[in-house]
Amino acid sequence: MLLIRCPWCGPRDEVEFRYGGQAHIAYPGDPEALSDEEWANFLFMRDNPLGPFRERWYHVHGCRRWFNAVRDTSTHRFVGTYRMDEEPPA
Amino acid sequence: MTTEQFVAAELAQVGVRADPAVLPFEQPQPNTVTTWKGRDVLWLGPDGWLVVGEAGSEGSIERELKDALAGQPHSVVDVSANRIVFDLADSLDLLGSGCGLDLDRSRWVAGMCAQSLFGGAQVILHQLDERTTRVFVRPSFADYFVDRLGAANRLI
Amino acid sequence: MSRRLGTGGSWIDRSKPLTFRFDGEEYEGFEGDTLASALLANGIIAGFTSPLLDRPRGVMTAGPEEPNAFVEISEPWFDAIVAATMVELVDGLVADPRAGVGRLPDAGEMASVDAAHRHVHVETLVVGGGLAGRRAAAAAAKCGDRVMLVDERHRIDRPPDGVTVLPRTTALGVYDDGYVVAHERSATLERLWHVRATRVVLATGAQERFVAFAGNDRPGVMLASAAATYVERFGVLPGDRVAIFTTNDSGLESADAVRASGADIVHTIGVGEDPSAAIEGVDLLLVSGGWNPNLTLWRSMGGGLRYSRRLATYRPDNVGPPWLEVVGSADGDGLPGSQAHWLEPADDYSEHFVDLQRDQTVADIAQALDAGLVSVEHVKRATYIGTAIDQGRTSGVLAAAIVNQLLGTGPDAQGPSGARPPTVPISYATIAGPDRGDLLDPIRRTRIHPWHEEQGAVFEDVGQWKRPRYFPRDGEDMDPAVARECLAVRNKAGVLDASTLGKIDVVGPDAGAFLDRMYTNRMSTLPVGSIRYGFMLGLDGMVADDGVAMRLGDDHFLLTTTTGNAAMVLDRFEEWLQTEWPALRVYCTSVTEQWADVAIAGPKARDILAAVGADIDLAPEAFPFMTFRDGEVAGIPVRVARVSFTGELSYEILVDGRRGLELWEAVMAAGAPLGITAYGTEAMHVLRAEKGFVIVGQDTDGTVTPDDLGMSWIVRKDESDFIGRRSLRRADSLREDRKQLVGLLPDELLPEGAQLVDEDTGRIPMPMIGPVTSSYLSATLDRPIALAMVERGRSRHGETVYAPLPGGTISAEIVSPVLYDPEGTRHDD
Repeated sequence: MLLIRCPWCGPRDEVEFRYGGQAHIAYPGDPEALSDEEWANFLFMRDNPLGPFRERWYHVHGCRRWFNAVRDTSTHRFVGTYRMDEEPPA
Repeated sequence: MTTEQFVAAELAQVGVRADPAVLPFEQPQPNTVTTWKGRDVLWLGPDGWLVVGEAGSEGSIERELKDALAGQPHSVVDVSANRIVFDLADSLDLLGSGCGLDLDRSRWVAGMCAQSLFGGAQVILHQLDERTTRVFVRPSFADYFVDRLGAANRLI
Repeated sequence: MSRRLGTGGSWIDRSKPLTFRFDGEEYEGFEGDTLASALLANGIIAGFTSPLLDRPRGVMTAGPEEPNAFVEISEPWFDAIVAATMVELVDGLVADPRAGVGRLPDAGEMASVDAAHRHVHVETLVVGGGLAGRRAAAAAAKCGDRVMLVDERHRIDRPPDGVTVLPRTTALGVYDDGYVVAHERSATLERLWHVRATRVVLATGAQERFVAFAGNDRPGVMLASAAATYVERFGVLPGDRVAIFTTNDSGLESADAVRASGADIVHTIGVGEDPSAAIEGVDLLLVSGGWNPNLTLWRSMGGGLRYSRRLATYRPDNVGPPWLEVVGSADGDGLPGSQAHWLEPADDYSEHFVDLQRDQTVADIAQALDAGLVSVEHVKRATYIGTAIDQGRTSGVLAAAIVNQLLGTGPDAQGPSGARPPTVPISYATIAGPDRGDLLDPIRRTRIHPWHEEQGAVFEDVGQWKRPRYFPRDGEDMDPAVARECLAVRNKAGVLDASTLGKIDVVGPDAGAFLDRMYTNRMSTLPVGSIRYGFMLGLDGMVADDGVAMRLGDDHFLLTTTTGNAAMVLDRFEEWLQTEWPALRVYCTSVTEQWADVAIAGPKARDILAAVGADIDLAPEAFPFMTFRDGEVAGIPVRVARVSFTGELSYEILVDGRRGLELWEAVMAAGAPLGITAYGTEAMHVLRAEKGFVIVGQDTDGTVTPDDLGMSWIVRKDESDFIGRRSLRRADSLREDRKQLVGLLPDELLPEGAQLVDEDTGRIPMPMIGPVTSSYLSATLDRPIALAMVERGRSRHGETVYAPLPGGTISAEIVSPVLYDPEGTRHDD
């Protein structure tokens, strides 16, 4: 049961959140200009590093805010969380 | 325990969403409660609040808010039927049977509120005073909430 | 023969005798005894059996490391399997020996398991109430921390002040970020603690190490310190003629304690002498192979080990989470140095036991090594050493050391395999606590539910909701009830509780623009007062939900969603608004339960609404199809929407949720003379299927595009983007052989999910052309019907396809999915 620090509510149990996959993947400005392969890349291809990973979380059963996090995929430990409009922690 | 043994409080509830800069009331800090003309204002998010007042006053609350926010993007929605409200006495340990918040009396005090889970039900908790915890729960989850509280009560 | 000493026993109260039953016989003990100490006091030195080899076994230890003495407790509580050394003796206890495996209890026994769950937050949690643990707890309390200390034994001497002390509480597992689950059990209560601690201190102590020699599993072989514990704590002397085999000084100290109680220490032997020989002529052989720190919990969080030559075992290293620390003897403090002696050399290792719970010996390890399994992890899986209830407490370090020795590598070449939580057996009922039976998942009911129940409705689960499936009358079963309800709707009027539908309030200057991005059709062009049906797609172009939008104002919409997707749709709205389009000025609020929904459908619907008393002009020109009106019905403020899922003239009345039942009853009363009939989800499913209306999640499965459903009309014709638009142009979305929605007229009722084929060749495999998604007996058409997704289905109307089934093959004609009223005139009366 991870302890996740929502930028508004502070630390809460993992069960209040939903994982949102890789962060900082913007919806393409002009989807129609993309080839099928480029579109499939956007839809389906995600990074899978061992180590710090920038990902999204949703405080679905709390304040219902989306936020970002840097988390180490090998230890599960959060390096930090940051709001949608903030810069990631170093 | 049945829902009848728990007396639900009759209250007006109005959901407000707007830019905090244009609110007619002082914005509460996250997960705290302020007052505005005799109503409680619960923080639900950086741009969402629950205004709680006397039963039947939802109309006037809505009007006052809409007047104050006219000209700004805003949402003022009567949600008085959308949640049932229970005021529970001395129930923090019971709530701790299904809620992972830190409800220790030294940490969870009057004026605090939080959205969380009690078992499988989403709840809003508002600590009214030293002894009373106000719980907001969707009506369709109220039976489950009462039953689960009851199950905990038999064991506590 | 009693082995209770005349005096002594710091934990027992001789003024409080207790009776208990073991293996069918009645015995006596004292308050403060464990079941094991009481058994030994009564002279039961054996009493147990090994699980595989059927060898006699007896109590070997005084703690959770016990590998032999497992029991089932049936009174005064039920526990399927637990070590007798960890059972606090209570009056009336009933216990039976179990060889390694518990039995599944019956429902009555499980009903008695009622574990309370408690969540608690502390700054410091200490696991272990020995000296080091108590010191750590006291120090933390002095700093102002909230401190909890747990110990699995039923007694903690000299508990520190300012600390919440929980005896009889076993830490089952340590998880991320200081989350610890601990099980508290006494005769009268059982609790599962969920502790969130900023800091966890493991003062889990050390346990004495076992040694492998021939016959080391025989009753009367005991860990040396255990014997001393039985003497000092319980006033029990497990034998009079005693031998001690030890690799270290603590063994001698244990022997002294035993001698002081009157036993005769016949042999004292050390490394180089064979303890098997010492078994003859004694009734108690004490073994001390050194001391192993208890590091199960440390290792479960990734804590590492390093070998100590002085201790001839493993201590924690410095690798581990920053909030987790090990103190005391678990860290190796104060443990006696020991010679590294794991097994007694012999020609035959077949009785040198390593894991008593698994009946595995040195010979079994050697056999695994001979087979080429040289890793400790592989030896573990091949022999199951360390995988039993005791999770390798006496066997883990020993097995690894023996592997190293037999391979001729150094004593620290390979460390022991890890153990997994829970640290001791725990029943699922305890883990579930109150979350089982009816409380396993919330059961959600609408506010009209009491009426349904009183009418004897048969309910079905729709997500977490209970919805009436049908309302049987006069002992009807489902088919006639549903037929009656369908015909009532088609010929007169029916009323359905649609309150479970999701409802979302969307408001703001960009509300229309936002909905345009989320739906396939343009909601921004919807006139105020009108209603539009729309599809929401995934980014992959597949239908995700359908719903209806009502425009309440230029900037204001009320959306409905399917029952099961209400939360999903709102979550999706928030996701896009917060993560992609924060500049859009629009706010969404869930109002699912703010509104109850009473839906009247059928040719008499207008008359019934008039009869209930509506202050709305119901004339078709004044109140056309796909519009809504605000007003009053039966004196109650409502919003009435003309939408139809059945194809009949239909009014959905939205009313304040608190007055839903009142409105429902008013409608039923006014509608009774006009033949109004309550109908359930089953009839609703049939009626909509007759009209070819799909149910998202039943006729669609996440792989279906609007065109697959024959609903390209719902996708806007202009170039503006919406979620999923790009994917509709993917090559796969344009494939000619995609499955398409069709109707079926089968010879017999088809099972939903049946696969269709072009030709029933009788030979497997047959190429499948698609599934039957919905199937019903249609009273309206007086025949079975179905909806299906069939390859190229729209170009195959009139063709016959087949559903091969175990009981025979059913044939069906492919037709348009709109089987009834294809011109769609009936809703528009």
